Amino acid sequence: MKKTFRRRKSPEMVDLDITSLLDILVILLVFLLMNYNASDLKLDLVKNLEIADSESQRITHYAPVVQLNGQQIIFLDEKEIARLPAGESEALAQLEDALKKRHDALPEKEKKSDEGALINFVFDRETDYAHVDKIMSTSAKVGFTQFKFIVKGTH
Amino acid sequence: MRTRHEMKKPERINLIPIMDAVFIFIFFLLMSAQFVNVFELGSSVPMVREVREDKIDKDPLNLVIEIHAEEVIVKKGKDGTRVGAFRDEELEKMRTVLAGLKEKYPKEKVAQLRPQGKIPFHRLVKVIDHTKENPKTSTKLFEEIVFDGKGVI
Repeated sequence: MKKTFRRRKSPEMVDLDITSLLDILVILLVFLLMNYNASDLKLDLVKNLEIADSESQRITHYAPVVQLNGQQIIFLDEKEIARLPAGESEALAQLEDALKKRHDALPEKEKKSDEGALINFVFDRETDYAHVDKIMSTSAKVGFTQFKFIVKGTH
Repeated sequence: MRTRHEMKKPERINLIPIMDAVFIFIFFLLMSAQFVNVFELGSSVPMVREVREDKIDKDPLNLVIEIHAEEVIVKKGKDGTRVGAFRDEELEKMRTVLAGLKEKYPKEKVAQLRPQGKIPFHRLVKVIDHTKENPKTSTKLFEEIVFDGKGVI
């Protein structure tokens, strides 16, 4: 029997319609650009903390972050330091120690600045001013006198 | 002599490099995206500094804002003359009063805050917002917020 050889068809190039894909990409790009924040501070909020709303539009800056959540637990750069109501003076002493170590690690220029070093505070919106005042005083004692409250933009 | 014109096929644009760039850009934006819009509100502790006697203002504004449970009291001057008392829903009115004071004392930037110990933080932020600037007219009022060193009232 005579063998017949069929010539294989070369695979045709499939024409993909990428118009819809490009549409999605452009929408995603616009959305991400609208939400882009030029801040150098990477903020990870601790549990049970609701930030206060504000009209402020000032971009945050990198500095140590002290957080006080709704359960009155103090965190320094996301590390738990102490709990305020349990033993107030003891908790503040622990915070002072932690802040001192953080202040010692700052660059010389920042340490010797006339205005004092920068510190970011994230307080739960229901925190009493009495607690806010104690944490600010403790920070000021160590040398962090430029306070920046981290707030949620309303616009 | 008649020449034969050939129909040119429209050339297709090569989208691959553009899409590569867009993908890289999207990844960069996704990695740096922060979906909660956080901003900062600045303040500081009172600083002591020496001022030459001839440069001391005879009639300083000395703006003090006391935050009480029911109202916000604005005081001015060396003797703490009461300018007005405002409830929470009247904070816009307080802003207008502060704008008037700023017109009288354009060089003054400092407002001293004296909140009560039981004041929640979100109320404090609201008062600071109304003291610092007027976003509707984009005018700066008293930008330097200083907390009273005497602690809570």
